[in-house]
Amino acid sequence: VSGARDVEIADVLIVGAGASGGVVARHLARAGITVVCLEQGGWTDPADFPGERPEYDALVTRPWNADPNRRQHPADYPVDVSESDVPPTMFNGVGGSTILYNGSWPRMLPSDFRVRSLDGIADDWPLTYEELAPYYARVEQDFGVSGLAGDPAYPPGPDFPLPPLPLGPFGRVAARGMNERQWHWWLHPTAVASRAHGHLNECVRLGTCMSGCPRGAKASTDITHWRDAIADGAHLVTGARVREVTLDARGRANGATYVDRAGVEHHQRARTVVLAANGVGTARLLLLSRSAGHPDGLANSSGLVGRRLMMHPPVSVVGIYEEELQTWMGPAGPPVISLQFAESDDARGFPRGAKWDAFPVAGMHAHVERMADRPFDERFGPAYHRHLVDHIGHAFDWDILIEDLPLESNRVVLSEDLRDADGIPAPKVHYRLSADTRANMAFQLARATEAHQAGGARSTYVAEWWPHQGWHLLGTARCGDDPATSVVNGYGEAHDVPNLFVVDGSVFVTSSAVNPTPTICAFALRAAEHIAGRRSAP
Amino acid sequence: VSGPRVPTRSRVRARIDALADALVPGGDGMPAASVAGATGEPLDRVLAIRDDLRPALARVLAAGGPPLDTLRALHADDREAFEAFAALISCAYAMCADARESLGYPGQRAYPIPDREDPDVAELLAPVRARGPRYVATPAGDAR
Repeated sequence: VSGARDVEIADVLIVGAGASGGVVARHLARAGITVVCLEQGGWTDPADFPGERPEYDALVTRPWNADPNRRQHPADYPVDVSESDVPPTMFNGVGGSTILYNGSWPRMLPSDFRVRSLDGIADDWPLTYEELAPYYARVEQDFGVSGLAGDPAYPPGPDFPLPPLPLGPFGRVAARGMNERQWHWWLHPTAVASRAHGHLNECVRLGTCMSGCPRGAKASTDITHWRDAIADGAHLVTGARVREVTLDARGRANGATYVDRAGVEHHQRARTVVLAANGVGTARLLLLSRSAGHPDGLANSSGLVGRRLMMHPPVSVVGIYEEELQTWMGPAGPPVISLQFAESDDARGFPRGAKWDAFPVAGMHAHVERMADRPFDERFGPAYHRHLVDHIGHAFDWDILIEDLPLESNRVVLSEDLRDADGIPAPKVHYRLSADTRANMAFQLARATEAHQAGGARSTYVAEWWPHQGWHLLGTARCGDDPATSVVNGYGEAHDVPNLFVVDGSVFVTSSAVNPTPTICAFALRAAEHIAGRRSAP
Repeated sequence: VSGPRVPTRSRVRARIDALADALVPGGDGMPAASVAGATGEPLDRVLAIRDDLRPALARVLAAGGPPLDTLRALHADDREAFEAFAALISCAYAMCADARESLGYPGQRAYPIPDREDPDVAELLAPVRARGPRYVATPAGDAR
């Protein structure tokens, strides 16, 4: 761990060492810029990940669970979810939520950047797919993405740096069903290394990506970015929980105040501040950073900080098959993606759509846990074994990510009574599914049931995703060209504070239906290039 | 000297066995929880990870009556305690080799990626390719 006590004034101070923070740090450090990053968590040791430990099933229920309210690591802060249909999930530590994601790596669709123009709802992004495409290609290299070029759901693009991961037995069944329906599918691009790449080892298909990869084959920024960033001179301070972004007399950001794990308060000075703390953490920090000039929170003259939270409420349809599908064989990132119903279709009666992926469930207990809403006799007693016999190796999910649209009522605020271990107000999430989202869900679930049936499933049922997890924290500091209707511009620079940047999922204007990490990282790389260019300008 | 009777360790274990077997009985070719060994060392190891569930486990053990009736009553009246007990036993059961073997489940283990590419992927994808591009084009620089 590289400390920063010797850096009096950082050129750039980054808050959060996750996906976007790692991308920015590596780019700026390589450009010779003095970077300090404050991260409230620490490093994870792959040997601690549950994947190859006998206690796997128990370990993922709490210490390696994605819900910070369940996990309760010292680095975690509580989230008040008393008024949310979906609890946010995240990981606080070096690598951020890439420690626990499954590495799904789809680009957003071109239409995702033009929802207002095409659908007459929500807003357009201040940048286009074509503008972001070169950055997508670069982060695909940096994260060692395995995939197959030529997906007709996207404009032509370059080859992926690594060959696709094997389709596997259940991927074939999923593909068979989609071909039967004449629906779109493709090999899912995944930031899991099908061959050794950079600091990444070759995947051995443990199937436990979502509790950390014990073999170092999944691209998390602790591996792919921070090692190089530190080698290039970046200073990473772990155990540093930021409580406020501070301003100078001219109203420009001049650093951040943080609390270390001993409870001691520090201040790190900086010429530029970059927030990379995810769609909940960044909004929380901006709201915490109130001052006389920013009474409603920093960079919040639009009133949109914390608002428009989007979380991709996930649902799935489970298909049970007679044939042996070896669903315990990884990677736990899905082998198959479908964008058949991702684009808008007026005939459906709701805007936008959803992304599907064919998804395995690792372990034994997870199959039981996700049935928690069923009556006793459908879960335990004789039903326990029947359920496991049906599911282990014979069932997979069509997992559906719903594109939820931005609503100002879905928001992050500061909790009035919940505080973290350092006494800092916790975030409170207000999030309700809209009528459009529910209509979208109902449509997609019906189609996914048909896909399973076409693939030969002997039975299907709708399952809530164990249960309710909000993996994607988006939209709470949206980007845009108009300071009245957005928080930051297309480079993530705050309209109100010109040397303050936001580069995480908070900047999303709309959510797309696909996993956001590739877009977060591409946006962050573009922002980092902008910051570096401005600093080197005469 | 009189006072509340304190269950001995063996009595506690016997009660855990009985409750666990009511939750996960033998059947479908699979062993009951205690027969698989779940209530021994595996449960201890799960409790070491989930020590937050000890108070709920104590409530379960404090409830008297026939095991299945006790579990049903807890499911109805103290769901938190029931779910805690269910999680402990189910996670411990997943650690038992006999249980896994009965399911044909090898556990999460390494399967190195073969050198050769999937031979049938091109054929499977052929109809997808044949249908052509399906994205909605958005010319660069259009209205923002």
